[in-house]
This record gives sequence, structure tokens and C-alpha cells, in this order.
Amino acid sequence: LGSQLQALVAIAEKDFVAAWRAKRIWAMGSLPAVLLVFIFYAVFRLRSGDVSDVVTAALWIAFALSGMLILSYSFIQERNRGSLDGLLLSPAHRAVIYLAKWLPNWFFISLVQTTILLLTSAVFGINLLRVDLLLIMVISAAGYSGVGTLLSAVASHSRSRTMMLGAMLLPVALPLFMVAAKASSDLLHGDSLSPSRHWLQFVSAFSFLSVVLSTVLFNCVVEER
Amino acid sequence: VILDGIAGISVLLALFVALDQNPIQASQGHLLGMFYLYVSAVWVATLTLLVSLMAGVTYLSRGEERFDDLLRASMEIGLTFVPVAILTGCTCAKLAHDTWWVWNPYLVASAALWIVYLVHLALRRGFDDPHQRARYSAVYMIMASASGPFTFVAALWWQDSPSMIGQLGPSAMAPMLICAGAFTLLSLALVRHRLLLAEHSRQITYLRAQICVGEA
Repeated sequence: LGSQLQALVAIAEKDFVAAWRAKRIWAMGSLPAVLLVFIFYAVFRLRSGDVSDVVTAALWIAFALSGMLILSYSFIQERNRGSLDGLLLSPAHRAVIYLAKWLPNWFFISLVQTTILLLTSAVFGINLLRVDLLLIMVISAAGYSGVGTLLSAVASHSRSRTMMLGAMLLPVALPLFMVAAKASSDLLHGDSLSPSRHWLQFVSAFSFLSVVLSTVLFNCVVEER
Repeated sequence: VILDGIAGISVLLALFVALDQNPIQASQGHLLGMFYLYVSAVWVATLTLLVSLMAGVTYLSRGEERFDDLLRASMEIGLTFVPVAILTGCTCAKLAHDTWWVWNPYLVASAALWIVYLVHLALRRGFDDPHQRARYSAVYMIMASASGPFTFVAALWWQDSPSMIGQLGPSAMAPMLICAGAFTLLSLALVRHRLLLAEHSRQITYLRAQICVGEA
């Protein structure tokens, strides 16, 4: 178990360092989302009254877009460099490799999402830095990156890689976005997380299931038969 | 042939029951009849999802090609029946609420399922190696099936109209079962044909390879 844990830390560290050095991941993940927030602002700035729903829509579309771009980077880069075979030949268990790939994805998606949150707060003049909203975003990011890391591995083998990832990921992650967007909208309208709806439990259950299922299925994706 | 015949007759009977023998047709127009078809199509769509899930899991555990054939067959049947569910659902919404779309959980889940099936079809075409194709297709189907109930619950929470139709009486049970049974028989017959087609296609590939070897 100790050696597997060491492998997990080593692979995750490699991804962290690689992503940190290759600054393009930030540009790739953030810029389209930043543009999207500005487009929403440009379209809706003249609307008087409550813009909470517009902010929610901008936030979650930006989240889906930036997450998808970051996830597409995850395995395609490994395939292009040919380093995936090296990873698979290492004594690390396949589940450990998956978790080590998922953790940096989760971290970077959460980080880019927080940046977008700050930007949206500044542009629309609404305070979005709330613990409950951040909690929903971080847990959603765990589930989104959980499914996304697995599907990124699948898409990296396909002929139309990046396009395939987006097409595969969004319908699977749809319930996560539906519920997270609804919960955010309720929060921005001043409601607390309604206990009758169990938003947080839903998002947590989806994220947990997606990570567990992806960990189990990852072996089937990278296995060569 | 017997299954095809029974399926054909039962579908005709179902259409007759749904559209003509409607006990409260006078009060609710064609809504109830359309509703029977809608519920039956949703039922078959759910069935195809369950069969795809089971076929995917079995393929990954056993690696037998016939389970990939079953997954592909049920996915293709779903690809045909889900639009029926969406179209009849939209027609029900138009008749009941004078709008083409309502946030009904069955309707939303059907739309999401159709996208999943379309993507699945595209995914399968992205691989040349049949084993790789089958494996990734099974993995994607398992993930999509796991997400299905979540989509349903999420849409249930978003629901803006309580139901497309009021409380259905016990008299609605018999026509509903006839329609659902007929759609199930039809989908079974189609799956059987698709499996036979896959088997024949495999035999042709094998014979071609034998001929090539013989010529060489």
C-alpha cells in the first residue's frame, strides 16, 4: 500500500509540475471561459433588475467549457509524448494511475473555476465568494473531473480526440450541471440550500459514484488485449 | 418469423387501441392515446438502456463478442425508439399545456438518452479495432447508464408541470399494457434481427479471410 501511495504522489506530482510549467493550460482553460463571461455581460448589462440567473448560467457554462479543455489536455498529452505506455509499465496499480491523473485535473478545474468566480463577481458586481457556492463548485469539479479523466483516456484513443471528449462528457455530466446550476441560482436568490431538495447530497453522490466507477473502469480503458 | 408476425400484429393492435378505442377520447381528444404511445416508447427506451448496461458489464467481464453485438443492437433500437418517445411526449405537452416542451423528467431523460446514443454511435465509428471499439463502447455505456437515474432525478427537481395528464383511472391500465407489450415485442424482434445480421456479417468476414489465405 505504501509503494502504491508513493506512486500516486509521484504521478500526481509529475502532472502538477508539467501543468505548472506549461502555462498554456491556464490560457487554454481560462481564456474561452473569460470571453464567455464578458459576452454574457455585454448582452445582459443593459437589463435592469436581477441578474442572478444570468450569472448562474455564465458561471456553469464557463465551468463546463474550461473543465472540458483542461480534461482534454490530460491524456492526449501523454499519448502524444508516448509516456502513457511508460506509466502503464510502472508497478503502480491502474486504479492508482487513474487517481493520480484525476487529482491534478480536479485541482486545476477548481482553480480555474475560482478564477472565473472572482472575475464574474467583479464584472457583474455580485459577491459570489460564498462558502456554500464554493463547496458546490469544488464537489462538482470532483465529479466532473472524475468522469472526464476516464472519458479523456477513451477519447485519446479515438480518431477525433478533443471533439469526442466534449460530445461524450457533456451528456454524462448533464445531471451534475442541472442540479448545481439550480442550487447556485437558489443561493444567489438569497435562499439557503433547501433541505427538501438535497442539492449538496445529490452533487456529492454523483461525484463519489463517478470517481469510484471510473477508478474501476480505468483498467478496461488502458488494457491492451 | 413467428416473433415478427406476433410483433407486427400486436403493434397494429396497440395503435388501434391507443388511437381509436379510447374510452374518454371525447373529453381529452387524442391526448390519452398519444400518452399510451409515449409511455410505451419511454418504457422501451429504459429497457434498451438496461440491456445496454448489462451487455456492457458482461462484455467487460467475459470478453465475448455476442455481448457487444447485444449492446450495439439495443443501442440502435434505443436510437429508434427514443425519438418516438420525444415526439409523442412533445405532442402530449402541446395537447395538455399548449407548449411543445415541458420539463417532464421522462422527456428530459429521453432527450439526454438520445444524445448519449448518438454519441455512442459516433464513438464506435472512431475505432478500427473491433475489440477496442467494443471495450470503449461498453465503458461509455456503463458511465452513461449510471448517469441516467441522476438525470431523471435532476429533471424531477426542475419539473415545472406536475404531470402531462391527470390521474389515470384503472380503465387506462389495459390499453397501456397492450401498447407497452406491443412495443416490447417489436423491439425484441428488431434486436433478434440485428443479432442475426451481426452474426452473418462476422461469418462473411471470416470467409473472406479464408479465401484470401487460400489465394495466397
